[in-house]
Amino acid sequence: MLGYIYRQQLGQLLNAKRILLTLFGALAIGGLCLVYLNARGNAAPVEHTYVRLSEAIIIRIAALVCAIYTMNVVSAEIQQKTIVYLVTVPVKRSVMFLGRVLAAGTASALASILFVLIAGLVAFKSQAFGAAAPILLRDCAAIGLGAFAYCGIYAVFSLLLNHALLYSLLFAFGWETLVPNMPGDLYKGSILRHVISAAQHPEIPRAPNGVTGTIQRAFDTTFYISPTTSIIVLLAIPIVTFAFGAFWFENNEYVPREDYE
Amino acid sequence: MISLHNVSRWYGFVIGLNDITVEIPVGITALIGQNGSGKSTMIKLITGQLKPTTGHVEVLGQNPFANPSVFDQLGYCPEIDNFYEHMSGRQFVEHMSRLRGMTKEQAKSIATEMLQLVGMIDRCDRPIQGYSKGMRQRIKLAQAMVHDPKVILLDEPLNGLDPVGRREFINLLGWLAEKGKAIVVSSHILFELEQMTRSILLLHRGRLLAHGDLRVIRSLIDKHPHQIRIETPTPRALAAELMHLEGVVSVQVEDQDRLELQVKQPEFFYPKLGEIVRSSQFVVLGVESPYNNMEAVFRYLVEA
Repeated sequence: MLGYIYRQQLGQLLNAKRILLTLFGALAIGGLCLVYLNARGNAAPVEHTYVRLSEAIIIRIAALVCAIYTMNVVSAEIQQKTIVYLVTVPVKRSVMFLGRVLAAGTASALASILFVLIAGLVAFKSQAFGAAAPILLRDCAAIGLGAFAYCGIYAVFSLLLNHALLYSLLFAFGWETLVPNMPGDLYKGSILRHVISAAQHPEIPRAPNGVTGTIQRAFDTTFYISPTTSIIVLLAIPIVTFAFGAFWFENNEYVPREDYE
Repeated sequence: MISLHNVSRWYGFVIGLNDITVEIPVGITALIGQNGSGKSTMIKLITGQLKPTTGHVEVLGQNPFANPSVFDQLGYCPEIDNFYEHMSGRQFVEHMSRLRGMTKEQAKSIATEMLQLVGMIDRCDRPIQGYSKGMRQRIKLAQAMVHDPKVILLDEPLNGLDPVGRREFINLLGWLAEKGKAIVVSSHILFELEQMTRSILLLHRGRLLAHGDLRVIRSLIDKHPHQIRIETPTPRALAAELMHLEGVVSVQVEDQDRLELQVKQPEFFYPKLGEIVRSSQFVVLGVESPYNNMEAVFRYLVEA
């Protein structure tokens, strides 16, 4: 049954309309990357350019895409009131949750990997694309793991909170922006830092501006997490959150929300 | 088949269902009550969507909350009209069949059978988003019956159905009840519920006001005498004979051919009426009890 639920949900998430939208999104990201490159100039090495694109745009957009896909696991069903069909069929609720969240993770990971490839194409251009393969492969793997981690966290939000999309977006753009720049080891509480670490991005000289740059300079934050630690963390987050979500969904009431009329 | 023992359900400080104890047997049971009476809460408890705050619910001897073995034997037609709108009716019924553990081939075959049964076979390949309320209702019914359940719960199933559809549906429920299924139908269309069953379960402000056979319940309501209307060409003469009978509260000649009585104990009155008509050779064209229906019982009990 897990297999059917996973395939069915993945089919819903990757229908023609959504694929088309994702492709348009990828093209838009490509455009955004070009604008970013032009603004920064082409003096820096191409790897540094790509790393900047990846950290400034791709991972953040992946976090957003994960939030959108994950809302289909439980939140959208509650809002559309179709949750009633899911909780009255002879399928264990934990299996129902796992099938759906794994599908959301897969769809998010695929979309994120597409965005990585687009950014790679823009940064490395066609002539250097082959040489960039190791970097891109590491990035694809890291962002794939990151997508599952984000999905796990958002799925827990959607089980515990009303208006989960709002909280997920706050996490993606609030927590993930501020926490890496907090003093001490707090940056380790950010999925973004672990994705960057797991991807083994080269250290590049930074002179950040704006609010985050000011905070970073004020606290003299330096980031170092070993890639192995980050990979373990990125594997552990989905395992823990999916297990918690399955337990929670199995044991708590989920009925259609009347206030969405 | 379904039993609730001292079941109460609170929503924060608001009580949805208050200390209900009831057994629902095989056959059709009408769940009636005003808005906010607790009908939906009761259905959600039976379908395992909610847990009771106190007491316990059993369906086929098991707690229904998140219990797949109960859902294997339970068909549920919810009140909501929401679907996966991009799917066609056939896809939706097939999907629900697959979630009930059927193979792809089984799901296809049973979906076709059920769609035929609810009269949707010719329109089932269109997306649900273009369906009327009646068509949605039929699709919901089809998905509730795909697995031949022993217990069927139908929340406002007649909403949106046209008169022909309602008649077909009532016949279908009768057929299912004869097959030994326990069917609970919640509706506010009391007239149509009455055509399905005389077994009622009346909720009011979260409490179980009455349950059982409508006629028995009606006979227990002493405060409101039964009204009996008799059509006869000689109303005055018949009235003179009937007014002395025990239990007759009032007699009123309404027209040249109609008589209306208020009677306290109809079970004694009707045999006596038969005897008088036979012995005095009265012509009686019709006898009816206009306020003895589900609506009147509902009104009497709720107003009381």
